[in-house]
Amino acid sequence: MEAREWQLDVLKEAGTVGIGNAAKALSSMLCDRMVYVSVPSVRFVPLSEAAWIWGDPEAIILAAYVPFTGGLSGSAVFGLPEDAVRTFMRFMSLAAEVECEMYSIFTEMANIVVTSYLNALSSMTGWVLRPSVPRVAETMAGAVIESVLALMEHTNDSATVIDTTFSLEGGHRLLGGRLILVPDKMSLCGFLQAVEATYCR
Amino acid sequence: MIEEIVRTGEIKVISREGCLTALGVGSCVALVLYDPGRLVAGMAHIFLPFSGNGHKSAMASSFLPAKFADTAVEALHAAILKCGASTGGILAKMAGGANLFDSFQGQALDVGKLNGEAVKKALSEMGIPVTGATLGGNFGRTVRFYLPSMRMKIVCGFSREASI
Repeated sequence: MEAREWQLDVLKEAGTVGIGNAAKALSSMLCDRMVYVSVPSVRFVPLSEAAWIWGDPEAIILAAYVPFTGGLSGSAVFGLPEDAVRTFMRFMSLAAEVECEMYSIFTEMANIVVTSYLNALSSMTGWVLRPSVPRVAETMAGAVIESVLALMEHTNDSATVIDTTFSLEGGHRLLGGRLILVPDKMSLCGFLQAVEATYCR
Repeated sequence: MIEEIVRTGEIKVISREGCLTALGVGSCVALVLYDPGRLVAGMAHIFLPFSGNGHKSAMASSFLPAKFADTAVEALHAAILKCGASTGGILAKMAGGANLFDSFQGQALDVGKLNGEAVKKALSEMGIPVTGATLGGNFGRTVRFYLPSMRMKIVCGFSREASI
């Protein structure tokens, strides 16, 4: 089933609420610094173009992969360039030298962002969504996306992707992060029907 | 020099001079079959190990020739023969098959490992010798294969590099 126009709008709306929640959580974690977010884009990405979702497939990022289950199942990927994580740690007055500390801080950020996003989706349908523990990698962006789709055993030739960019005032420049949601195709249909039943009567 | 980008699920073939490139390969496998005598080489960017595995319909609906290891090797073999390779002298090199997300729950699927094994099995069934392979690890790779040198260069970020 191809998602119709209104379904894309529902996903966009759900994404906007979700990302608003996530940005608020991130901002309070960073001592109330401004966190800017883009309006989520919902796209059907062909598998062969998936490696370019992030832009440059070779860009090195810290990425957290968070599979989630419940009424809607799928995968969330939260990613930041490494220098952005170091800047965040400086904001939180944490020592950036310790590598494992950087990983655990990043894991915590991913936890907060993904959970608050999913909570917003939950509140739209009343369904419980359960994120699992984030699994972190530091490598090429293209490799991350490709591996996540493979872990989902993505047998379709395209994926529905809800994509939002984060940015934050970081001294002289904005630091770009990204949250990507890839719902399982089957559960996505059910989710959209539940939203329709609640809001479009 | 012409650089052909081989995206996920695709097969590309070059002859005489050029470069085949797969960018940011994670659990996928970038497989190259080449004929040193005729200087023909093809790359497949393989995504998942099996076309069957309970997803019988998946294969039929896929337009990507290199999506599944078990069918991609044959498709790649056919593609380089079509471009002038001889059946006798074909060799293979490959890279990829990483497992980026170390699992502490211990039960996660290692697609990269399965991909590598499926490709090796298909190659041995077809009697194609592997002259170089770098598989596994927890990092992504960019894989380039050059003609006429027949070298495969692998970059992993963090300035790690290899040549096979």
